[in-house]
Amino acid sequence: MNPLRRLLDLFSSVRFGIVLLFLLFVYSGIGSAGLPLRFAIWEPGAWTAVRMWRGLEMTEYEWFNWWPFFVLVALTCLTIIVTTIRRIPFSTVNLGVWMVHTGLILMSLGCVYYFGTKIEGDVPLARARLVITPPGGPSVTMRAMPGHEATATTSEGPWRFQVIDTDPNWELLSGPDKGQTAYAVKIMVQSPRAMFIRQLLAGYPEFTEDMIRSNDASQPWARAVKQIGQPLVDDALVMELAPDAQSHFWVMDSASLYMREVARQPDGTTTPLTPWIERPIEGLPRYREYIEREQEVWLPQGDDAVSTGPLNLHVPPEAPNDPLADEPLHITSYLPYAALESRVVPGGTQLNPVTTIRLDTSSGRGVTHRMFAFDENPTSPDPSLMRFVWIEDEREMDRMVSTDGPRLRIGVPAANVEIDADITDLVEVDPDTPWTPVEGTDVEFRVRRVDDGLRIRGRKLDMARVEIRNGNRTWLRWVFDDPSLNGDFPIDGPTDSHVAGDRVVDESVTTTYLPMGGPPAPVTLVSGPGEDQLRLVNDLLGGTPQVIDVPVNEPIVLGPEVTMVVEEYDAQARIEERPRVIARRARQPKAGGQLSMIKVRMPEAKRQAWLSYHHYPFEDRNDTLIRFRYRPTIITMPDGRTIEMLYSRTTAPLPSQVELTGFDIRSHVGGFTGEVSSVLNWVSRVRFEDEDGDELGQVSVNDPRERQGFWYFQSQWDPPEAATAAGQVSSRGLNYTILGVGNRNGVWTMLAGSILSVIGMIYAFYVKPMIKRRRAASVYRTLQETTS
Amino acid sequence: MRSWMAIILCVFLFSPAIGQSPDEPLSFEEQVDLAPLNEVAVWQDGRIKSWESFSRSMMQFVTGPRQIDGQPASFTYLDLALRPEAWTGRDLVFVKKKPMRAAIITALVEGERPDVATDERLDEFMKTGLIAREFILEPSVVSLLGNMQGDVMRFAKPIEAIQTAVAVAQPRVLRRSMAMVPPTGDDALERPWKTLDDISAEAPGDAVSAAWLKLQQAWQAEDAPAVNAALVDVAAAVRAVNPGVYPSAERLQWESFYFQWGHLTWVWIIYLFSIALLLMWLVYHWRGALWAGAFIFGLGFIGQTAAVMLRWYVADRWPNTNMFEAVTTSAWFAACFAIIMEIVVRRTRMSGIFLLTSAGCSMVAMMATRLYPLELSAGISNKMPVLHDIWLYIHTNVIIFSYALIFLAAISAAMYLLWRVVNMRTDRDGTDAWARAGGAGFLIVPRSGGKAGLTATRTTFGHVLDGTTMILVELSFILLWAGLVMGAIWADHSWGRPWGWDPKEVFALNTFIIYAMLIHVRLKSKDKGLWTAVLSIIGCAVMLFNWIIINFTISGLHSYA
Repeated sequence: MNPLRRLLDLFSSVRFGIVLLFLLFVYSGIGSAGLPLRFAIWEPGAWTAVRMWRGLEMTEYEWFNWWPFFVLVALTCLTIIVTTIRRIPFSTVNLGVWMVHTGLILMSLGCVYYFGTKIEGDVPLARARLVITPPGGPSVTMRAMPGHEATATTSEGPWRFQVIDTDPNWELLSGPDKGQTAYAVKIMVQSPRAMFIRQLLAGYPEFTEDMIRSNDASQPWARAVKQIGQPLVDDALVMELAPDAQSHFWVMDSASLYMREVARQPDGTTTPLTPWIERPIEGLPRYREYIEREQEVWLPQGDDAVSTGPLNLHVPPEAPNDPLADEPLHITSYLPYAALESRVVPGGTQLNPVTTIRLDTSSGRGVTHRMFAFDENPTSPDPSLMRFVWIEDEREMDRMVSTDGPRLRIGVPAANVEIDADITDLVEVDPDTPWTPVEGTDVEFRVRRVDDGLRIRGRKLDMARVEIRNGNRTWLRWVFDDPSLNGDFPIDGPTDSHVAGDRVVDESVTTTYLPMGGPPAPVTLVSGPGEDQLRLVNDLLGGTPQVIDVPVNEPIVLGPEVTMVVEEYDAQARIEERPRVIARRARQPKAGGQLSMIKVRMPEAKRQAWLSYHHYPFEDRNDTLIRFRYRPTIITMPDGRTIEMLYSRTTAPLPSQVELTGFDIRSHVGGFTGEVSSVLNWVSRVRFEDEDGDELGQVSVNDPRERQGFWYFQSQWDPPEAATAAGQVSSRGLNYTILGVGNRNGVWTMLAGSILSVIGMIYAFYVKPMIKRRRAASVYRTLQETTS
Repeated sequence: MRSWMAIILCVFLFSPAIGQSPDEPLSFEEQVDLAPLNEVAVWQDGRIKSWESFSRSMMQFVTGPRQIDGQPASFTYLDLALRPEAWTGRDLVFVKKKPMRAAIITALVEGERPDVATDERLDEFMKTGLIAREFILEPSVVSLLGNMQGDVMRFAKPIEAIQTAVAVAQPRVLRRSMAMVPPTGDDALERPWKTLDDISAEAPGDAVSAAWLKLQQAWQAEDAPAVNAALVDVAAAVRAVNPGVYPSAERLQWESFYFQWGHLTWVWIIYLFSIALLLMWLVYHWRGALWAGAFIFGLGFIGQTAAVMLRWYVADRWPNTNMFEAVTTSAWFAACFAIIMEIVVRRTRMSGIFLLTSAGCSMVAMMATRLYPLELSAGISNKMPVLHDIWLYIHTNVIIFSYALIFLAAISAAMYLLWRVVNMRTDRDGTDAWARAGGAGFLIVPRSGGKAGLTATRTTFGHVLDGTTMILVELSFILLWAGLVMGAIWADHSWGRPWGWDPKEVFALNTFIIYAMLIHVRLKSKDKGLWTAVLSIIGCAVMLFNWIIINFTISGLHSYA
């Protein structure tokens, strides 16, 4: 038979069409849900996502834009076309199936156009950008976000600015818009002469005013106009809120390297010398680990182990002003879910004692644990039972085995007197505690309180507060176990300045605090003062603690049922920072690629660096948005240049410049509580600007806005966030919006095809039988008439 | 079965004389009359709920689907909040997964096991899932849960549920959640409600504070008459604060009724009777069974309609925004459709089949909500912002209606297969009985003799079942496709793209592909009835996979319903 005819017969075969439908079903099912690994398919973890397998690593979008899917769809369309033309006569009866098939072909064509030209991403828009021009100094700018700070150096000295608060709903109390709300930004200004707060209202520059310190404790900051009769402390300081206009967006599921040359500043910060230059990364994996050398990362062990593979992606320069244009760049490692982590490893050159112990019980259970003597947080299976410490000298060991209570060593060098006095009474407990004289001198003392185990700048310190009287003079002294830290203060207690500044000690009276003796835990491993000395202070048995030398790898009986073996001891372990690969089972599925890392290698320059993923390539720390990372990697090149690198997403131009003019929350009954559950809708008010002019618009959930062929839809928002760490500024939220951006070519073709196929189905299933019924009835009627 | 028993018991236990010995004194719990609280509103998550609805949703976090000592959740809530000392060491926190229960028991036994954690009590925990907060807070259990939480995929959610239960069961959390006092002023609708404790702190002499204080004192003293009087006072006082924004007493009472009566999902039992009678009709052709079955179906439908309408009224929106509502509303759609179809085919051999399939669908749907109250939670909450759109009503209803029809088709397909098996054994089947061609059209197009398939004498029961399946398949085929198109339109203007290859989208498309295969297989296969039935059941399985596995195991953008 003619091969062409065979082919035509194949493509007009309904069976072939059914096979293709089945293959489409299987392909879609595997790509979307994956494959079940267990019978219990309802259990989490029962499914393996095939498209995430090594070698595939596709998003859902990519899986359905892969050639096998295109081939299947193309073959199905071809089968529909050939079958329809060859086997379904175009008639009234068959109109339905013709419409269905034509609709499907039309929809497929629309899909090809749509998915072939699809580009999608997002653009963040802040409520405002703060532009500050101090008198006689350069302008500085930053996004208005709580916590952002900037410094401008003028001839007078440095001006420091910090956004201490933003209020998205500041109610206007005067003016024509009284009762309405505006976006307010409060900036703490520290000029060379004064410190004050300036408040700016977006859209109402006439209401800009300052607040200065008042003497009213209930209202420490008062309006300057009330205090000094004018709204601004310094008219020459110009501060304004400008729109945060954006002309680019960032493409979804893309990857790019950003680099720029910077200059290091004395304070450790950097100043850009060039803008960010982008190098798109093609073919970056998404879901699996690719590691050049396993020693470069902290890999999970045991059941959590992950498989790894090699990677070498060349990232060529594209921009003419690429600061590393002559430098080939390779990505040699990729981690989809990792975080930088410092760990202690053996082989260092500085004192850093580390030991690994194994505890075995008589019942056969054992546990191995690594402990670090200098770790701020005691590292032990149970710090209340076991500790590992370093001692500087034998006196510390003596104190550990001593059962003495706390004492104060006090001396008067001029009289050549020094005594050790037990601390039995405290002024804080009994205000009438009598003064204890230092015999042969005019000095008397009494102890106000003791604080053992203080952690100050990484050191563990013990301290007593002692009131000292010498003749007519009485003062308070902080007495530490390390006398070099002692400090004298007025008897009423230290002020802040005393604490922060250098402490002065009256050297006519010397003091040392001798805290209570005894080991810090019932079982204490002690290293030092010699680096190879490792001893055990065992206080489990009662009485005076026992001290024994601890050899490595020899069991020591701690008690009737517990044995300890020191498996490793290293006094000079070193700290290494590597990416820690997070075990698969510990990964939050919603994190997406937010925790991914890549390693960039520059073979010519012999440089390499790990880069963490950034959702946006911010210009600097003051350009960031709350909750988004900014931590570029700094690399010093052999030629002395300093390069900053950042791993983020690909930038694409917007057809229009877009800025946020307002951001509202519509809430359910009871108002906005900060929780999503109280939100009815988010509304971003935006302004577009392009060659067609300006246009104001509104984007909200279910109500996108089109401009120049691109659609803008409400994607993310900035919820309120409480400060969780010292120095952090809490946020009332609503400081920015994130709009999704994308084109949607071919949608009308798809829609037309879909509607046509729906009409065709209705025709085929309901109109066609009616026609056939009428025709059949007519035939039977004719037959009856003929026979009768 | 419990629902069935409950109905019977309700009848008998309405009279205290039957359920309670006259000599036995009533307990505090039995004497307390919480009826005044049926008219009390609580503001929670941007929604004003009835006390009944609120307390149930809160206690579900703690006790899961379990009732403590047979008490209503509203009583347990108040007792926990006002008399916390009575709950020290009580088994209260629900742990859903049995492997987790076993792990907790092991940790308790191997750790410093509290004396009160007896073997019997731990056995009971293994059975019921209820455990004392104090046991969960044992260091060994805390350590265990901390370690297990590292396994995000398997344990993050169940451990989060336990932590939530422990947190919510704290009296201060419960009291802090009782936002019962409406704000006053012009912008009252935009300001949060206050708790009774807030008011007591702000205005100790206020009527609300006084009533609240009285209630607390009476409750702690277990003085039931005083409690009942204080409840009346509290209910009146909080309403009097701002009657303008307070929901009507009628609305709150209906909401309370809806939850107190188990959201009327117990009507599944009525459908069960209906199924039994309709099966008798189909097997033995007893017309009386048909009429009785249809009558009982009608009763079930009235109950089901009341449930849907009541929920619509109290939620103030059409019920189709979460899994519970999607499941129950789709079954109601199926019941409506079945009634219409029964009227259309009332004098044909198809009579009773639609009612039967619909009764099966409604019974399964409502049983599922009772068997899986945590997964299919009946709590009423606000819609997510993305759901505030007209397409929610168009797209979602069309899709869930198509899903209901798919389920109905699978039931008739299963009946067809059963009929084939039965007839194969008795050798009463022949190739003649196989449905021939034309789908549902076969039923109305005249065949030899001039009669349409549905009324022709040679038409077998298999033809009728196959025809029923095809009626359902064809309609669901169109509705599913139309629903997909409508979803794409909605997604286009909501998310900026009509199709995102989200798992739920893909498996809805896959369901459609199965039915596309069915229609084309029917063209080529000689044994059309068999293939139609098999593929209908497969299509239903894919649909259920989409609704259950994709929603609960493989998350996506559509996981709300």
